[in-house]
Amino acid sequence: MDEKKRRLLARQDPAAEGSTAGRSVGGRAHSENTGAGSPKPPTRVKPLSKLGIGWRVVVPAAALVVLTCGQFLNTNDFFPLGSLTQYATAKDLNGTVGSTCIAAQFPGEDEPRRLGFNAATVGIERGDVESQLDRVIAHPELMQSMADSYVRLHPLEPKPETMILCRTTTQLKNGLSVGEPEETTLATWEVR
Amino acid sequence: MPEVPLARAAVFRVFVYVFIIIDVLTISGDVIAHGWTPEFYQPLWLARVLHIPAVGVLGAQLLLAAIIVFSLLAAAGIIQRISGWAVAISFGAWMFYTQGYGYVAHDHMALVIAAFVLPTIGPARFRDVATTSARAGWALRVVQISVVLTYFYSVLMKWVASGNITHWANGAVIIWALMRRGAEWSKPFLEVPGLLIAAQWATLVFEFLSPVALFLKGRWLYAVVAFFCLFHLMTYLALGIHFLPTVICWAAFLPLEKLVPKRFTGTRTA
Repeated sequence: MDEKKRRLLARQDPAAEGSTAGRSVGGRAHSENTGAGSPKPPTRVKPLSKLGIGWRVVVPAAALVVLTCGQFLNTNDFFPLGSLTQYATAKDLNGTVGSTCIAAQFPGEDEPRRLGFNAATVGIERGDVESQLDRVIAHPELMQSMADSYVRLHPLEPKPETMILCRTTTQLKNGLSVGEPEETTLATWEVR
Repeated sequence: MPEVPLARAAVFRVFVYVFIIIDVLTISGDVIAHGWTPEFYQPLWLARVLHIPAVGVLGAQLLLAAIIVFSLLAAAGIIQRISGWAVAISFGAWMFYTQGYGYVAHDHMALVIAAFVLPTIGPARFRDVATTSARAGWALRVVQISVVLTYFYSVLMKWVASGNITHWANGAVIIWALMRRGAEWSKPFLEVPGLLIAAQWATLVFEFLSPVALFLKGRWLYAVVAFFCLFHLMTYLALGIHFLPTVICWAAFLPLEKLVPKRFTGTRTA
């Protein structure tokens, strides 16, 4: 009821609103609109209770602690307050650049064909598989669901006979690539 | 607690809820496909605590429909608290299903937090230009802090993950990213690694300085917001990494009530 009354009063005071609309720039409408040339202060909603202030201080503080711990523990488990790991790991200028790929052998084709490693093609993104690469290599049967996804997402295409998890590796020297990328097979799975 | 016009929160709310619809349909649209690959589900801590199972295709489609309906209601300011909390819960569940399959992208941190703090503001209308609220001020401040921490803590993470922050800055991270997913036009930069190392140092510096945005006003603030938006535009064009969920939350720094047409505010022109 008080809220409605407040709004009604605010609407009936166009002069005050006009001054505020023209001057409220920096985010502190109250302080900005009580200065010279602004005869009426802006309307304020009911102030926060002690409890309201309390949880608004405690919850962000707790979230900050969790976020900070997420960084030092290097874990994404507390998402959305996990570690900010994207592109956070240093890469050696004389190291290698690896990129995981997925290919499939189709009936009647001589060579395996590279597939798009994304959710629209095999039901999952490359980054997701790379994040659990050891698990997929140890359990290649996980690729069955990628084959099933491919069939469901491409009903007019032939069913793959074999799924091949592969990796291209490029050698760097002083930050420049040297030689041709090397492709290795990480795991294969005969599609059921 | 800082006080800001409720109209600012009302406009920001539209930004966030409309963007959430775009997000679930595009950026985080892999949840439906994840319904086909439940074997890859690696539930995050909160999902494990709440015993949230892997999503099926039908479940993902229903969740998608719920998020869109609730977001439209919340953006329109209809039953604001209820629709806002419904978005927060359904979008939070959606996040478990897009981030819970191995790779966790941190570009959604501020957006998820925005979805959870916006309903705490309560009713906020476009016409509330002259009405200031500590609830709105707190919520927008939390979003602002989340935005800058996305950058500032990524420096901390680089330090933790690399052992020595100079190893990261003098290393081959951008080279690695360009080789894996770079656009064709950006490939020639691979021939000048020194330039890319300089870009890494520059990135480190402005990520470290990002909290400055919390204390700026006026043109300086606009300049910082524009700078970060341009940075993300550049990474999108070069690498396909847009960070849009964070970019949209930069709006929390701006006097969005100025976008409200005068006919909605009921103000008179002099």
